[in-house]
Amino acid sequence: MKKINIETLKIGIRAQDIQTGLQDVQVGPLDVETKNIRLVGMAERLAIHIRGADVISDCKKLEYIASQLGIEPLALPQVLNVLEELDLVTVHKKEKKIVQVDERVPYFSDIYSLAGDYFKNSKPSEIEEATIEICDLLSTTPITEQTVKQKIGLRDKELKMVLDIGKSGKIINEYTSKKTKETIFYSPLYWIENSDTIENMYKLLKEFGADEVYNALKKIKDYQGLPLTDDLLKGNYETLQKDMKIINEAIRRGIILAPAVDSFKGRRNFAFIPSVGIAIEEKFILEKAMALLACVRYGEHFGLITKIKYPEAILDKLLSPPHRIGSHTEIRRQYAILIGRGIGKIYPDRTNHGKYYFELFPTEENLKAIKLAKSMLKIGEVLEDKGLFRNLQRMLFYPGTYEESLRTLPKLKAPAFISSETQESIQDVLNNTMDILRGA
Amino acid sequence: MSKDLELKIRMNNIFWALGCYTRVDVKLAEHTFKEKSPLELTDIDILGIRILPDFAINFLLADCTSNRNIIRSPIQRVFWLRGVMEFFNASHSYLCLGSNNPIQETQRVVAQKLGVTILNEDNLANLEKRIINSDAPQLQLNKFEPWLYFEHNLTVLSKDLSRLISFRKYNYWLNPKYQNLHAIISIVKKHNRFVNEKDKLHKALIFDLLTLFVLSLLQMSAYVFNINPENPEMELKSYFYGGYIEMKKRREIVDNIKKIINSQNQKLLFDDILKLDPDYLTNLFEIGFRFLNKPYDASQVLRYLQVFLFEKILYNEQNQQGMEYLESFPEITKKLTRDIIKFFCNATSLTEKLFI
Repeated sequence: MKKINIETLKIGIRAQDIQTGLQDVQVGPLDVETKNIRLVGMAERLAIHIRGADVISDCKKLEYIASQLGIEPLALPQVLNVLEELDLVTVHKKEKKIVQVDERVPYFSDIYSLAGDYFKNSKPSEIEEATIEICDLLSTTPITEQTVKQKIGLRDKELKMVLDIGKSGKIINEYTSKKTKETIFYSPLYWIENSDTIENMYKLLKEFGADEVYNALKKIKDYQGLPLTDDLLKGNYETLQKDMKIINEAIRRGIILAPAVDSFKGRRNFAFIPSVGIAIEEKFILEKAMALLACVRYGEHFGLITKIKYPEAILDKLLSPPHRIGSHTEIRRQYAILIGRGIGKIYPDRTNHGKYYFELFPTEENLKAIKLAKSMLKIGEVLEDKGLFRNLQRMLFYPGTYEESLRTLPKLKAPAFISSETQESIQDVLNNTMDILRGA
Repeated sequence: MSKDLELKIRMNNIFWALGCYTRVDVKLAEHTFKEKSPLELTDIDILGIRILPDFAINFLLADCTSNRNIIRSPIQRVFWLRGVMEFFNASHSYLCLGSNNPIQETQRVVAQKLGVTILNEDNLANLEKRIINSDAPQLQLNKFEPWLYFEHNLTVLSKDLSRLISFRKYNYWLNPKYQNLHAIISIVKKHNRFVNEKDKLHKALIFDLLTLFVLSLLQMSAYVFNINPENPEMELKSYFYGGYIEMKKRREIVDNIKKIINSQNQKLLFDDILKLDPDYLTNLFEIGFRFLNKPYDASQVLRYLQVFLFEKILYNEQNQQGMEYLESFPEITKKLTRDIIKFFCNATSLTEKLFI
């Protein structure tokens, strides 16, 4: 097999995905083949849950949290050892017993690159490397069995082991075409298990070849919100290059989404791969994140007067009070699509005629959408708070003993949930009312 | 001990009992066109810095004197002290007189209007009774000899370290607050080769600079705490560069230099140097953000460092009460201190052995 050749950030992310999937699964003899991945994945998950604790002196609490993440008490010292090597914790011991853990998991840089690097240096087995690499391939696109073999260079026996691991953890699944009986692999973590989408994907792979499809989709994943050319959208199919033809087809079949933004330089579409690793019940957040990022990309590529130089800075401004950008002449049209989605409002600058502000409604889901948009800018998928169980984390921050915090857990239920549709309709009514009150 | 020295240490102990981190003989200076070092203008006898759990940072000043003219009519000195208070942005100050002469009521009232309390020796003794807990542990920093020992010995250190000494004495107090973060790291890094980890006084000097660095860090956290702690990265960055406009200007300057370098086809040679943010910046923000999230524990770090300096570094754990007091600080305060030491050593290429 070829040596693993993906960036350490992605290795770290995939290790966490795999460990999360395998957490409650008995893989028997395959345990041995996944020990490094699992160890790194465990370390990552524990790290994001203890971040901010500073000092953990109730080691029972730590053991409990670890056990909820699939880390047995016997494995905990080993996981802490990894975190210590990554310089994310210091473990204080008295007579070989852990008495305190100092935590310093970073807030402003990712832990995945560190963990990925650690994995690379941990002498992983071929099976482990292949599992990581296949999971990474499948996070971009479903792929044929043949291409997997070619790309990874695995023998049948080893490939079977990787698939067994992947299927056990529900991170890899396979789809067999009813017509041709050919098999493609996909990741349910990244691709919604919708037989139409998978069938469409299968047809695309057959038509253009798996390598080409992978490369075309990777182009978008590496630059979520890729501006699409007029040729591509106006259907001048024959003049398109092959990757653009694939993107065109993928849009037509609903595999790639391409929201449009209409402003001074006309209507433009921006391509997104929706497989970002977000839970299905949170897909509406993804829709909002795509809309936000499309507006920012418009300013970046088609701004009439000033082009956006630092797209992340725009998202940062929206993230913090007063959650406002502007004033600017182009805002009124460029950010118009966000109003209908309940993301924010546009209003004129009273002192500069013709200029407008956009202000975000700072609801929990809108703020989540901004954070997701930032992650998509950075690596094309979810990064911030990936795999974090807040209720579990809160236990560590609850002052008191382990038993007391266990009793508190039921009180930490999530608040009532209002869907985006309901929120949008309430906001419409309120906006309308405000307009009437202002004399519109 | 002279009268002034006695008054100073008594005011130092009052400030300490009020929850302050204290410094003695803080100089007020200004740069001149001709000289390398800033020119000393005046000084303040005792500076108390109190950090509250909402990151409110109070500066208290004390001026201690036995000067007969001042004792006769302290109001002139009160006006001078008011000016010094403005300079330090101090909320209150004490004019402590080495005499039991009565003080005119009118002078007391005017002084109070200016935020100054005038104390004669009777007043001082009564203030001590009211504020200082008689059961409080006796620390090295409560006595004047350790202060004298510390301050005097720094002045006779090797010339190689004179820039560091001058910095702690003058520059730190006259620089804009945000500049001190990088200024300390930069100056310590430039002089790290002269620091001997086995020399107690070298250790003490570096420890003192670290303490000043922590004060700057607390000021940064206070800024973000009061502006928008929910978007810390942006606010921390803006503080570090002295505001958004300053940050923008500096970015533009770097961009322009890059353009010039690129036009000379020298991109590869200088690409890794031409970046505005220093390598340590993200780690600095990590600590600043941890301070923000644990304000009470962070507010204790300065005092913890001060006790550590006197009890462990200067007096080698001789004072049992001092060591017990040091141990009684909150665990998170101690941990935050360890984080800062680790960061400081990484950023300045100093060895952590200096802080053991």
